[in-house]
Amino acid sequence: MDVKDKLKILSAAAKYDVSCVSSGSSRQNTEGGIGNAAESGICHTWGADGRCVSLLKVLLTNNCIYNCAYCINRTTNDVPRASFTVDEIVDLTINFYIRNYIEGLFLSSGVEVNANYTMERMLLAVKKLRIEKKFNGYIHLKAIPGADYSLVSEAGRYADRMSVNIELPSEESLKALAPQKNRENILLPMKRIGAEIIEKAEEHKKNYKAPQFVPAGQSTQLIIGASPEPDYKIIKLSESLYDKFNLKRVFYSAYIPVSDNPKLPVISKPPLLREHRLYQADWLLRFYGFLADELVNPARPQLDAALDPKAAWAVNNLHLFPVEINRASYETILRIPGVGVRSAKKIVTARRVHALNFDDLKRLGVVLKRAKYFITCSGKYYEKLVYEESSLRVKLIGPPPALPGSGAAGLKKKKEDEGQLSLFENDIPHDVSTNISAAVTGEF
Amino acid sequence: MGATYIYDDSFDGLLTALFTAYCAAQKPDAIAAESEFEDGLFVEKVPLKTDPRKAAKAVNIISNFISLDAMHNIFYAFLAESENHGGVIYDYFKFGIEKGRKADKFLHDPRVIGVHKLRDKLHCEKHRLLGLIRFKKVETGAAGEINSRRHIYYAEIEPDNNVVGLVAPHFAHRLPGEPWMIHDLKRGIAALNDGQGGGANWSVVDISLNGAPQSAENEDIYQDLWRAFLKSLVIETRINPKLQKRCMPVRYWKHLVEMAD
Ligand code: SF4
Repeated sequence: MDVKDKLKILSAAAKYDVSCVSSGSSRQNTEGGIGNAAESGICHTWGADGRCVSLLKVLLTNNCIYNCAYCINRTTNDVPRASFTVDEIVDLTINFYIRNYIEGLFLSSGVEVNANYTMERMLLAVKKLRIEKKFNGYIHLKAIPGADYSLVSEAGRYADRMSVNIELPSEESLKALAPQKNRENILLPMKRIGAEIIEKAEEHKKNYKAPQFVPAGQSTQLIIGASPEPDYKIIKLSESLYDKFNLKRVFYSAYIPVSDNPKLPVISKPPLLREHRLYQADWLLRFYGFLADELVNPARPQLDAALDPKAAWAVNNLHLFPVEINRASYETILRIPGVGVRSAKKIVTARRVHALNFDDLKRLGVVLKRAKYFITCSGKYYEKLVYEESSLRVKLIGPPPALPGSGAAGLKKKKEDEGQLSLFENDIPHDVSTNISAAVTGEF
Repeated sequence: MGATYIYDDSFDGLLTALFTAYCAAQKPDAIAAESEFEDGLFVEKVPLKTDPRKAAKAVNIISNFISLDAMHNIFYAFLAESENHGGVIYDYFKFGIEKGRKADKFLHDPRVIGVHKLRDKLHCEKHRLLGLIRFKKVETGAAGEINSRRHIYYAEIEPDNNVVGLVAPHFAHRLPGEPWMIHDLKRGIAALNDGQGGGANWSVVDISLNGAPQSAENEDIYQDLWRAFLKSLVIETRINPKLQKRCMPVRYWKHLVEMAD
């Protein structure tokens, strides 16, 4: 099989891993070497699905002895199989990099022969790149669950980022859908990588010549909608991964049907809106100072489909509003719906030299579409307004029955998503308020 | 009737004009680049001669009385080749002299917003191009031997703003050991690196090529592999051309290996 055919198979097999991020590392080029890593990350192109492509994302092989139900590479699936040689990976990476197609390599793999064998081959590829070719571009490496930690740890010396994918958000789902994997061999390496990152970062601080270890941190991925966990469980899990394992990113991947296994839900389209809301909530945890429990809780286990999670939180906490733009703390301003980190920073900078009014805010570039209902400027409201949940909801998303601009497509979308959401409705207390707003705006 | 200072389109020229305005008892109404200036009945035109010493003094004034950030903002706003950037920069300069160190905090003031907008426009395009530049390995022939190699990694761009000098340092650090050229077709200039190693071996030169350079051996193979890779990476159930176009405006496609024709 020639390289092109292998590339087709092994990139298609890797595409369900959504992470393509190249940020967080500022690896420098070395004498006679090629490449470096840009701290902020760089997108090189966007696919027809609108996803940013930053790395050569491939599997080393899609041969796999495991049989995870949600995965196209599972052993019982009838798909063409291929394996790269180490040299092929190295050659593609260098030649794509030099032409500025990519920031680096994201190497993952099916489990061939056994976990150690696979991890060893991946290690060979990165060592060849780093040592022989002096390649200093970005490398994201998957840690294979079940591989000896000594191999994982060695790989961490060469990788910028490592990840172990949890995929399914609970032990029960793991048992049902990925019977050969278990909590232990997923979480343990994450924990140890996390500990070693902290340890080596300390050493590196004291002595900048000390080797770096996974400088761009650790990430993981959760599949959304292949198993019945509500958003509440998922966001709580993410929160503890950030707090306890020191993860840099949790990625969410809307489940795309790849199998007719009876244990998997039947859906015609991936639950993209739900995925989008989870990303928004994740952002609120990482950059906006929110706790998971503020966004979802056992009584409200799903994120609001019609409102972004910050606006949903705000209409449920109206006693905290309106916020006075010229006096409130930065943290409070960050919590105003529609105000992002950039806008919040601009507000606190500009108000030190000038009392801001609504026109000033517009000129600062603050989007008032949602924010205007939640703020005052020097005591003034934007418009007269009844301050209660239901009327604000109408303001924010329009009247419940016919959504403006949603039309037939919007209704169809709603149906499909309901098929997805209904999976959960047996397990969770029926909550009227989440249901009213289950209408989908189609706004991404 | 107010005067308009005319400078010669260069950055030194603009700085000369700012310095001259700073010293003048009778301040000019406006500053404009020669190529943009339109004669008017009530405008007194004052052409200035570019003077590097005056330009250096302007740099000192801006850096010391306003801030280094302000100097950066002015330079970027100048490179953002928008209409009347001389005028926008002059307004910002006057405001800066009036307010001093805290000038850039007046984020609601149109005089600050004007320059910040241009700066952001430039930052945005620069960052975009760091990803979108595509090098092709081309032959230079025996005559064009560079550093004893007969190939060069060659990229064509047609950016909205004059960013070739801003993206060059990035590639100089990244590919110090390879000869490369980033050719701005619109402006007839190129950033050139000789591949001697080190992060500072690049320069911007005027250039015109007759005809497209000849691809080196294997170049087509990697282009083909790149296209194949991107094609199989797409998730069919998520196809979203609108999003693709929003992230990567169509005007850049012409020079992208994967999007051209
Ligand atoms: S181990 Fe990985 S590649 Fe193999 S079937 Fe499971 S998810 Fe797929």
